[in-house]
Amino acid sequence: MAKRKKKKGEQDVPALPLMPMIDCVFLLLIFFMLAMRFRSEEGKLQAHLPKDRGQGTGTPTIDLQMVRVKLLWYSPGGRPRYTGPDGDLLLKVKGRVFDWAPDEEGNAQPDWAALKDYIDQKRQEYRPPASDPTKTLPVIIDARKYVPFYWIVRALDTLVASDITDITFAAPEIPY
Amino acid sequence: MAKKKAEDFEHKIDMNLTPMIDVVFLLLIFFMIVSELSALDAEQMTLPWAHMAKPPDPAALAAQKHGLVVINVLKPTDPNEAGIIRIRGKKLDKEKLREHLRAAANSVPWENTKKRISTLRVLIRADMECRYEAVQIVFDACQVNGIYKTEIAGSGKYVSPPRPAESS
Repeated sequence: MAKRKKKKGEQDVPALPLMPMIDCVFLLLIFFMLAMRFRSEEGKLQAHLPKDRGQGTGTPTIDLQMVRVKLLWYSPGGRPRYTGPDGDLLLKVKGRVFDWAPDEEGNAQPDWAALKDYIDQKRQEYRPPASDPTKTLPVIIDARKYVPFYWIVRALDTLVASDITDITFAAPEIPY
Repeated sequence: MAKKKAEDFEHKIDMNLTPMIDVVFLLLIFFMIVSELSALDAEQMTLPWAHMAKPPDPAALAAQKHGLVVINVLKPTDPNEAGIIRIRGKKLDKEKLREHLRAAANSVPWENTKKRISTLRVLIRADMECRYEAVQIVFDACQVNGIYKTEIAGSGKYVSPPRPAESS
């Protein structure tokens, strides 16, 4: 069969080669899909700072029933108040030292379960002041500046698990 | 003749690529924009394990985008440093951080104008190995500017604790 004859005035339409463009676009698409980070595992803990404290706000009120969770930093040899970056954590609440125990993966951690039991007991024993009957047990996290942030979040996480809502962070030893 | 006609018909079948190209381009633009935003606000780091951490609700997050500052505290490269404080990829020292938060607090309504209590929220994303000292600097900058709504990011997935120092 002979080719179809062109009509008068009809022109050849140049075909656009789409295949290389599709190849490039697919490559880019796969790159961005793989490079994108999904943050589904990330969550957040509420850690509101006190409104009535800070510079120029006067003397804060002190609750004698307040629990102070101390995260101290000791030298490997056990020397207290060591301020170097290499050290070991010591979890202490009202003179009680919480020993280390293996966690669910077998890694050594301070005994957070024992801390939770202790906090749960203190929460039940707490008697709110007559001026504010809705007040709950106040807990203050007092950590030394060399403590890795991991341990601060573990302490905060344990307090949140104990339904503690009044959580405060102690001011640094030397104010910034 | 009949055979030749059938062959001609087969050659005329052509896939319409235009809708596919449209869809692929849309997907490409989406991933380009989303990946850039996530890299700026949430930098790559190992967050500490917090099984009680609540995952953010995407709808609430979009609604609260205004009035939220995300502060990243990265692990220091120098062991004598506490941590590297960055906001949207920009490294800030203590003074610059205070200035940045002051400007951010002034850009949103005050909860209590007289006492200078801000409605601004601050999300602290700190690496598990950075020192608490770096986060204390962030807390201090927040309190100085009347910001009390702070949140700490944690990983819902188990993360091993930092290796304890070897006993001497």
